[in-house]
Formats: sequence, C-alpha cells, structure tokens
Amino acid sequence: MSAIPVLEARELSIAFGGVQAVREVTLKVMRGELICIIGPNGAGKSSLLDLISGTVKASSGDVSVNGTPLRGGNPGAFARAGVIRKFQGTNIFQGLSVRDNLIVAAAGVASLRVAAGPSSEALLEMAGLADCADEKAEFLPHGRRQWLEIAMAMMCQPSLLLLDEPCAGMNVGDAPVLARLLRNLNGKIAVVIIEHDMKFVRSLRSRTLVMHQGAIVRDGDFATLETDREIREIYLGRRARERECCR
Amino acid sequence: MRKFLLPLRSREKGFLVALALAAVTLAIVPYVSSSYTINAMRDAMVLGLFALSYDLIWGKTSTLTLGHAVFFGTGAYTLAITTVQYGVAPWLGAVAGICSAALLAWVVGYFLLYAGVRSQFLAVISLAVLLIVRQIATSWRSVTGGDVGILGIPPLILGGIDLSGAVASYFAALTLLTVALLGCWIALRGTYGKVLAAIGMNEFRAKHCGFNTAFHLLTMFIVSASLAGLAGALYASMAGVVAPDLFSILLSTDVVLWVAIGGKGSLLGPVIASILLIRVQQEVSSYAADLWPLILGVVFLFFVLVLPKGLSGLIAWGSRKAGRRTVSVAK
Amino acid sequence: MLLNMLSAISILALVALGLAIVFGMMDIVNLAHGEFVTIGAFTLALLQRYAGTNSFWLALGVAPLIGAVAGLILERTVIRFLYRRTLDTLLATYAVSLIVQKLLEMTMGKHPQLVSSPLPNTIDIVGVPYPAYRLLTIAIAVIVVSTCLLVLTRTRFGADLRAVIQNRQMAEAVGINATRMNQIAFAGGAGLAALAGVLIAPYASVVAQMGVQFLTKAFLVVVVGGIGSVIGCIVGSSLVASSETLLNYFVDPSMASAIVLILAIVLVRFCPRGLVAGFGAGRSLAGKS
Repeated sequence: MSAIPVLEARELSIAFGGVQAVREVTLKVMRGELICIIGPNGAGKSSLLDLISGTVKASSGDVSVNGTPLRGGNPGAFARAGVIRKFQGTNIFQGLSVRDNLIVAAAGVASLRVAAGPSSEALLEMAGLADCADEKAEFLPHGRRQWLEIAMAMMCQPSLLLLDEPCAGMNVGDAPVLARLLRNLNGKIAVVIIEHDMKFVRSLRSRTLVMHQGAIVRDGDFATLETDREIREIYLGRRARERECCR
Repeated sequence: MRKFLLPLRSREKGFLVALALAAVTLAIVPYVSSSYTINAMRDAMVLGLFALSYDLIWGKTSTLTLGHAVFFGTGAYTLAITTVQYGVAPWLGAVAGICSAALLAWVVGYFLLYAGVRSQFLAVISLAVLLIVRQIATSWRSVTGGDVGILGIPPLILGGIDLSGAVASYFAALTLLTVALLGCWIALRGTYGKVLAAIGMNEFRAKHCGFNTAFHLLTMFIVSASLAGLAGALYASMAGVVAPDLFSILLSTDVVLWVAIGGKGSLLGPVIASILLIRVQQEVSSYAADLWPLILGVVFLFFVLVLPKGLSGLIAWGSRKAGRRTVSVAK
Repeated sequence: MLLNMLSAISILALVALGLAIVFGMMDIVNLAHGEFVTIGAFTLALLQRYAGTNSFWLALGVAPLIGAVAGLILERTVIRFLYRRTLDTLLATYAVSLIVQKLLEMTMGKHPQLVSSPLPNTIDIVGVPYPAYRLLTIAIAVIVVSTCLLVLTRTRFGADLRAVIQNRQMAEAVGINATRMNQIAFAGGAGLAALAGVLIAPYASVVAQMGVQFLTKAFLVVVVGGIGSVIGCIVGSSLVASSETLLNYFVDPSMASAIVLILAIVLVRFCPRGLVAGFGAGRSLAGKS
C-alpha cells in the first residue's frame, strides 16, 4: 500500500549569486513523519527549506505536495496545500495584537480546510501567550515571538510543518516543551525541522538528514549518525579549517 | 451576513458615535450658512468621499499611490461624456463613471500588482498613469473637449427628484458620504480588515499564511478606484463642467496628506481631515492661488519628517503613555 | 528621424542615470529628481538673460555644479534622516518637489522662460539638413554617459561605488565610507540631471513643472532597464525614448506616451527585475519573493 507522500521533492537545485546552494536534492516526507535536517553553516539547509516551502523557485527539479506538483515562488499555493513554514520570530504582523496574528493566520487557509481549525484561545494557551493576547505583537520579547510563530503555524492546519531553527533565542525551559509538542504531532502532522542544537535533535529521536555543500549526505536515525565518523569530520573539519584561517 | 454584525467593542462604538456626531453637525450646516458656504461644504464632502476612497487603499493596505486623482477624473469625464454626448441619464452616467474607474484600476492594477510591483515603483508608475491620462484628455479633443473640457453637464436628477439645488445636492452628498463610510466600516471591521492590515504590514508573511495577496490588493484597488470614480462623477454632475485639470497631481498629493493627518485606516479621520483642510484651502486660495501648494508641501514635509503616523498615531502614542502609567499605578 | 531618436535617448539616459544609481545605492526614489532638470534649464535661462546667448557654454559647466550643490543640500537636509524609511523618502522628496516648483513659479513667473539655442544653424547629414544643436546635445550626452560608465567600471572610485550598491554593509566593513559615497552619488546624479536640463532647454518649454515628465520617464527607464545598472539605464533609455520618438510619427504625442507606458507596465509584469540585472535594490521592487 503506497501512501502519497506529503511532500516529494525531486532533483531540486538552486544557486544564489554563483554559489550552488542546493544540489539535486531528492526527498520524500510521509504523513506524520518527523525529520531533522542538520549540517554545518552554509550547507544549504535554509535554502532547501526555501524551496520546499515555495518561497523560492528552484532552478531545476520539482516539488509535489500531497501528489500535486506545485510551482515554486508561490508560497501562498504551498500554504494552501498544507505546507506551513514557521519563521524565526521576526516575521509576525508587528502592528496587530497577538490574538489578531492568530486570527489572520487562520484566515489564510480557512476556506480550504475541511475541519474547523484550532481556536485561537486554545493555541494562545498552548503557546503561553494568553496573558498578552491583546498586546501588539511588536512588544513581545524574542522568545515569546517564537511561540507566537509556532501558534500561527498551527492555526494554518498544516499537513507539513517546516521549522527553521526553532530553538534559537528560546528560553532555556522551552526546548523540552517544544520537543514534547513535536512528539505529540508525530503521526498526525509531518514536521521537517532545521536545527543546530544537537541536544534538542537528540531528544527527538527522529529520522535525521545531514546536509553538506548543498546535498544530503546522510539519511538515517540520529543515534547512528552521531557515531558516524564522516559526519564528525564534516562538522569538525570545518571548524579545524576555520581555526587554520584565524592564525 | 452574521459575520459583519459582531458585537461592538468600545473602540468601535466610538467610531459610530463620532460618525453620528459628524453627520448631525454636517446636517445642520445648510440651515445656518450662506449659499456659498453650502456649496463649498458640499464640494468638500464630495472630496471627503475621495479621501475615504484613498483611505481604503493606502490607509487600509499601506499601498501608496501618487496618482489617485486619475480615478476621480475618469469618473468625472465618463459621466460628462455619457450624459452630454450620448444623452444618458445622470444616474446611469454615474454608474458608468464608477465602472470606467474600476476598469482602469483593474487593468493597471492587474499588471502591476500581480507582477509584484510595490511601494516606490507602484507610487511613481501611478503618477505616470495620471499624467498620461491627463495628456490624453487634453489631446483627444473630439471626445474629451481638449483643454476646454466638457460643459453643460445636465443636473443630477434621481428618480424624478431634482438634486441640483444647493440644499438638495448638499444632502445628497452627505447621504452618500455617510452611507459609504458606514458601508466601508461594516465591511472592514471584522477579520477581513485585519487581513488587509496584515498584508500591508508584511506581505511576505501573509503569503505564507496562504493568502493570494496580489488578489486582495487588486480587489481593494478596484474598490478604492470605484469610490473615487463615484466622487468624480458626483463632482462633475454638481459642477456642470469637467476639464483636464481634474487629473490633478495636487489633488493626488492632497489626498495623501488628508489620510496621513486624519489617520491611516481610520476611515472617519481622513474624511474629517479632508473637509477641514479643504475649507482652509478654499480660504487660502482666495488670497493667493499659489500659496496653498507651497503650504501643502511644507506641511507634508513636516509630517513625514516628524510625525509619520499622523494625528491618530499621535493620539495612539498619547494613550499608550497614559495606559502605561495606569498599569504601573495599579501595580 | 534616427537622430531624433538618438537625441531623445541620450537626454533621457542623462536624467535616468542619476536616478538609477541613487536607487541602486540607497534604495530610495528621489521624486524631486525632475526638479534638478528644471534647475538646470532655469540656470541657462537666467544666464542667457543677463549674459547673452553664448553663455550657453558657461551654463554647461555652471548648471551641473548648481545641480550638484542642490542635490547635496537635499541629501543633507532631508534624505539623511530617512535612510531606512523608503516610503517616507518618497513622500518627503515629493513634498520637496512641490515646494521647489511653487517657489520657482512664484519667483520666476508662470510663463515659459526665454532660452535660445547657441547653434541655430543646420548641418547637412547625408543630404538631409539637421539642426546642429541636436547633434551637439547627442555628442555631449554620449561623452558624459560614457565617461560615467568608464568611471564606474575602470576607476577605484567606481569600484567602491558599485560595492556600496551591491552590499552596503560589506562595503562599510571593508572601509568604504558609504555616507560619503551616498553624497557623491546623489550630487553627481543631480548634476547630470541639471546638465540634461541645460541641453534640453532650447527646444522644450521651460516652466516650473517641466521636471515631472522627466521624472516619470526616467522612472520607466529604471523600471525597464533595471536598477543600479548603468548598462541597464542605457538599454532602458534606448527602448523608452526610441519607441516614443517612433510612435510620435504615427500618433499623437500623448498617445505615444500612453503606449510606451502601457508597454512598460506589461513588460514589468513579465520581467519585474528589469531587462538587465541590476546590482542592488531590485529586491525592493519584487518584494521578498
């Protein structure tokens, strides 16, 4: 029984200013799957996310969401199809209240979803934002903005949730809460997460992809990857080379 | 329909109260003023309708255009051409005016907005559109009457009622303005208004929520143009003549200031600001015709450099300060 | 006819160049740019009023200087405060253009200024008489634009300028004084526009509002040709000016402008970045997508 993958990317490539950021990446994400993408800086993780969220149009290759091919450069279409991206806290609607941010987020896909989405009150609770629901979003501190972004993403009823370094700038106690949330979503909503925080990635115990210089070099579970020599070299090798440069 | 009749919050009650007050005040004017003042106020209200139309596009979605008067002029000329040269009834001419303005907005807006043209580019290209339409109005003598324009526009008669007299036209304008204000308010007070504000604030993010932002911007552009076209048609009908100077850069600049001073997006603010400023302008112009644009430019500059959020921004800033003080006291 | 096109192209290129560079560098549109053209034209008129027709040659040197000074003043007094606020810069410069136009009107009067061409004779080109003056304008414009191109591509200063256009922060990190570059670019662009004003004055109507049509045309050039790119500017000017001149032979001038505008708008729909990839601020045009 072959299920249609939530997302299928084939031979995706994109170059920015002469640098090949993503090299013919092929990826299949099944329903409810949790995938982590790790890799050194500049490996192309964020660019890959740009491509599968529809933010940027790939120079070659194609993307299908739930079996339907979609053209890149049109994030609205991707979002309506269920691919929702969470940003890093700087992309909220600053002038609107926290609650209104959620209401607007939900309105984007409301007509296309079969079931009624989660209520804004429920998500405010989940994100710990109930006390500042009426405040303007621009006044939220960074850590809380990350939670607002998560709540906004959930309001859009994603079938695939894309998280770009969600732990960056979060308060210390929040990472385990996020991990718990993601484990709860496992099986229901597919999640692809880019992260640098290895402790967090380890706690998720999920399928992990390692990217290096635009390509996926490893695809397996985290425990196996952690002991993989080549991966260590990819990470450490860069650091060793950097130390050379600074001498 | 129920979506629009949500329970009122206190700030919204404030709007309705202010609207009622303004409407009543304006309704009293004809009984205490000279015929000249009545006509002047009536013209100001028609331009207030124009200000409202601009608030829909710049105030609500933060889409700056610098040639908004092109829709005003298009509406005016369409009414003039259809009624004078084709003998169409005035109300139908007004409808034609609305449609022609909407069509222009649709065509220009489709090509620009769907191409992702925004901010500065959109603003200047809209200015170019205004200039070119004005040039066409000046040279296409056979249709538009050239430099002289079109005279002898028939008076506004709606369903047998003669609305051309000073008082009658005044109340016609007041009614239309109030209805338009109420209509815009009802349509935009709910989620859609927030959606538009969100698109204006951060279009990139809005797209990622699933919105077809170009579509929504185009929709508001067309609605705004239609309202501006209506204002133009009204103006033509009441003035009796149209000329190419209706496609005025000054008017397009004026309207930006009215919305800026009145408060972007507050609907009522720009209307009141426009009526007041037009009265000032009418008085100043009677002394020195050139002085007003100069004053306008200076005030504009001041506003941009010092007070970018307009009067309502000033009020909001003040109330925020007051709010913070109360919070700390309560603690 | 070909020469008419050339003269239109070269003048437009002069005006648009300043706009394109400033736009590419600072991501702002100066709506008062048209006023620099007007200042140039008025300088010529004034000089000719007091010093005779041949002060044209003097004006060629003086007007750009005055334009550059005006540009510098504008930059220091208004633009400087509005660096991050692109829309506000738009509105502020719009206000300035309004003020300048009205001041000029109030001091110099509303009727067109008297300007005469220093070369009223015609020269025979391939048997067809053509105004010598137009040939002069083409020559001057071509020389100036080529010089700018050379400066931008061959000199150290030009490289610095292009660096600031491409990536301001990086350029500052390397030690380039971006603020100084801004001022120079601004003043330079203004000077170029003023020069265009002098060149065009003898066969245009020199009134206070003459700048606006140049502004919109220059803008179309930038939109079509790409932002921050000199080549794009030249390409854009060629397209816009030549199509307009061409159309002028068949239809009414206003229809010609309308058609060119429509073509430009349609072009933008399909090539939002312009025809030549510019350096810097193209991102602001098409948003982040």
